[in-house]
Amino acid sequence: MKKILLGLIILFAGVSQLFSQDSLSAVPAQKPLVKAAFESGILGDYQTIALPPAHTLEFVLQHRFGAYNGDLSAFTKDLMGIWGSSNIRFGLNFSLSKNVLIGIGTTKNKIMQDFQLKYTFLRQRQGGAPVSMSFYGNAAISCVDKSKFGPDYKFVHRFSYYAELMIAKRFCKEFSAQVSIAWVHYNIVDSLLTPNYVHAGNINNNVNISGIGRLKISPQSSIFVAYSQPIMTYLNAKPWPNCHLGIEVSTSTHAFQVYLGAANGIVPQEIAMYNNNDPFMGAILIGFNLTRLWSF
Amino acid sequence: MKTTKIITMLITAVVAVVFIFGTSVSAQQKAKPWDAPAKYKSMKAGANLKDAAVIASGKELWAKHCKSCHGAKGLGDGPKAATLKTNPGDFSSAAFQGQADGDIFYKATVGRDEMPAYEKKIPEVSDQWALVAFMRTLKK
Repeated sequence: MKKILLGLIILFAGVSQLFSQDSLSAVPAQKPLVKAAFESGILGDYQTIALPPAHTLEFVLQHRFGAYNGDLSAFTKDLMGIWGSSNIRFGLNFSLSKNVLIGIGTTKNKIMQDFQLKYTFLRQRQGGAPVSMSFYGNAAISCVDKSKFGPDYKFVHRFSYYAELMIAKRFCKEFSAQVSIAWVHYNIVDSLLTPNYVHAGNINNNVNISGIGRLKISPQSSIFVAYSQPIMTYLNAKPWPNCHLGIEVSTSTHAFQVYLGAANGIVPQEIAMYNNNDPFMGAILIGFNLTRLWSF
Repeated sequence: MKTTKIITMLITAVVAVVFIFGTSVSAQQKAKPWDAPAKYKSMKAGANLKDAAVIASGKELWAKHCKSCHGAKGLGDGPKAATLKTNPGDFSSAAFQGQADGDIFYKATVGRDEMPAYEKKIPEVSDQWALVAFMRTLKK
């Protein structure tokens, strides 16, 4: 696992050299940067390539209401999931530089404590690099009682990891899109998770692919759609894909997002490995995110 | 019971007096004189301030960062303007538009008092000049 992570970091750093200068004798002026493809570093459940300016503290609040399971009577029972079981995450991020962000967070479900890093190593420029690229990685610790990890419990069983390569492009003033591929690893998994090929045993790793599209409808508002699919487990079984349809409003220091989605995991590896809500069978929920920035 | 009634009436009377006479609302003050350092007065614009694309970029930044206090047309009538101690001012006026480009650039990026500094929130200098370009279009 460590070799894979190291390999990914070297690969991502190497890609940025594709657009490096040829000549060392003179340093030509860099092409102007294209405006950021996204207003915030998160969009629904997904990380984006956006980073706040250097030395900015970001507070993140993510809330997922209960899932509505397609049963109309549930509307009166729990108001489309709003009165149902919810999940919530508080996070704090800090941008060490204009390219590097670190963060911590705590999530209600499975009492997950997460530590994250985002590194933007390529930025889209007018007449230069056609896309922006970022690497996102996190490590999370589940703090539930050790009895949940089975009879051979070890502390390392609490850990899970997520590493993602994101490629984004601002196509025009109104439209931006991002595609990404992520590797997910759990040190121990539920015995019900099996791969989609004939193979005995459980699967500790998965690969998750996702796509985001954002359309600005006013200077401060935009609508967004997103879809992600785990591909190492059954394609038509759990964990189900996740998808979003939402709206974002952003100001100088805040971003507000409200959307319809499926997964309630919040921490990205939980969504990729344990989403029990099938959006195509009506299992959707309302989610909202709120971010606030302080500059130092 | 009688004591409770008396205490309730006394508390109600005190609260009423405080609300009627205790608050003092001072009028919003005009901005004090604000001179930019000499190097900004003679600064050349870092972008073509008449370029449509630059102005459009500035308008986008204005909507996100400035409109809430300064208003959509820079008249100082944004939704947060009334909560400020100092009136944000009328950017369409001859007094504002008569400033040098560098003056406007300095005030928009460095700020003072209730006017935040935007050097970190808008780190790209080209974007800072785009904002100046848009502010030039607010002229009456």
